[in-house]
Amino acid sequence: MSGSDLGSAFLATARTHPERAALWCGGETLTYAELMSRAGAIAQLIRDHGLARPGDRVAILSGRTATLYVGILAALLAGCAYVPLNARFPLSRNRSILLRSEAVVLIADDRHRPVLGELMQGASYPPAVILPESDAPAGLLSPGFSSADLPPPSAPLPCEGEAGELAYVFFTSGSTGEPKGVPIRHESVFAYLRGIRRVFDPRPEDRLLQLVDVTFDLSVHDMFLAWTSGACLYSVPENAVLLCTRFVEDHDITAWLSVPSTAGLIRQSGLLAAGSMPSLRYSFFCGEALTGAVAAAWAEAAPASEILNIYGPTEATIAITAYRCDCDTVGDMAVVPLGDVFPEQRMALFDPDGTPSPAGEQGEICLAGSQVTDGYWRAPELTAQRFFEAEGYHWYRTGDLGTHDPGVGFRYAGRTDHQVKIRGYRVELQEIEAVVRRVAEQDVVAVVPWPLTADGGALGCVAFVSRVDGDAAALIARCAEQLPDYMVPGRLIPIGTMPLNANGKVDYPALRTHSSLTRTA
Amino acid sequence: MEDRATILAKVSEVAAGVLDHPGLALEEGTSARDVAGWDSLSHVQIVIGVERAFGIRMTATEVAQLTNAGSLVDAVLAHRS
Repeated sequence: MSGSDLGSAFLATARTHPERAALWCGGETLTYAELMSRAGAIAQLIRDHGLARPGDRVAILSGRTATLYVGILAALLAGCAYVPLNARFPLSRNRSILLRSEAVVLIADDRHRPVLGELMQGASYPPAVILPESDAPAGLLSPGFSSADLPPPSAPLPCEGEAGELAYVFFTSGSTGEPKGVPIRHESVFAYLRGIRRVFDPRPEDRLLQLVDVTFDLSVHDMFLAWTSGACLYSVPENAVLLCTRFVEDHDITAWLSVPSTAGLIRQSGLLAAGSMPSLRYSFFCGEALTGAVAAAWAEAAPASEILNIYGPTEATIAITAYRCDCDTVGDMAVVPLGDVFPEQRMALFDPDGTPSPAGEQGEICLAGSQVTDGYWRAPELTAQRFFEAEGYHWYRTGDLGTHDPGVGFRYAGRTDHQVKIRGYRVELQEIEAVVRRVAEQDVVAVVPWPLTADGGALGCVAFVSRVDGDAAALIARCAEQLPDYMVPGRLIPIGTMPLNANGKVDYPALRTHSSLTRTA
Repeated sequence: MEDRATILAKVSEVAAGVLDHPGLALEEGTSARDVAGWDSLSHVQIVIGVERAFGIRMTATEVAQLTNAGSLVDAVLAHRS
């Protein structure tokens, strides 16, 4: 890898492999030269018009088309940090992210053009909008630019080496009711790439699957492992999750990364056939517990593939540990271990009082090193809650409980708080409670994950309230206007008096076994 | 080769079986949201059933681009020609 920032690293690869395929998306294949040209033109526009300075944030809102990836690279080539918006999120959530990121440019596809006005409602300084797919005249959105404004292909590429410190700012579910921003430095991504290359060093011939949404940092693994190797990134079409093993077969994909839920869902649906993915060489799973049963079924479906469980929160740049499964014996494990931390990083167990946990005992997993963010975006109080200094390092409290076994590395042992995984997505239940509180005009709301999955995650959630005033379906629909689909409660359950524990707090364990959850919906 | 109506009737039969919806009669413009129980999983099961019925195999991308029963008929015709 070369270059001190992701944009420069991509350019170095593109110049080395200009004619190799870089991106397959929606039936369209772009070579490295073509991708560099398209992204470079947008970056040049940004520079020529002074729309952003190095270090500024550039938001991207696009469906799964080449524009999505071109936009991300354009932001980086302009020396900016990219802020991906999820095309499936409610407009209000994307608006909140756009405003809080203080993005000065928004790159959008034509499909989202009709909502851009509403998206930027309330912004004191609306970002400049670039619509690379549109040939409509500029000025429709002020300030707005279309494909007609892009420099011609022969324009020189933007200057290299002038990037700001940050590569991206991703927003994740926040317990305060608003998503929290996690800023990640270029340096941290390069540290991750060095760590993961110890187990998988892609060749230019490799074909990497890009399945997860670009608002999920696993996508950074997909994109930048490919684009620092000369390999090709294959973007799975929207609404094709259940068919992504067929996509692997269609395109001879050699590397896979997903949350375990995806593999579990495919397996549960009867679509994970033995030997169906002979091309896979490496299969990574991350984001939630990987059961031995799912790993074993995957090994049968992809007999030539290494299977690796990797672990890490967004705050620690994608993942920070790796465990290589023994495909012959992984089926005997209940849950696959997290493995050992990457050599350049630190991982340790701490007690609630902030002291290191005694050897052999369970503690909260804390992380330190160049992959760990300095703190949350414009949120010093939240940062103070989750980060601390000890033993000369800046540590992040993951909220995950763990143990350490010298034979296998770290093992996951549950959560310390109300964060759960719903369909593989990290969710703060308190964020859902805050929304339900507002919508239902109730003071006391308790959300529990439901129904549960075998790996400790959930497929959805339900909200307990004292009473339901009005139509429950209408209240749930109002929640859907503010929350991603996986966070919308499937039911509002009027419980009368909320059960409390001895400390006067909501008795969540009692709610999880409440009789209303055992009845069919 | 079968005509569109014949193919559509066969697709309806497959969908009826997957959705446990006896007598289901799809029209060219029928989409998943028009039929109770036609979710993402049953959609894939219907597609696989249609593939088996007609001896064809669609790519994941082709399946992702299907919008209604008519586009499924188009796909069958394209693969059979």
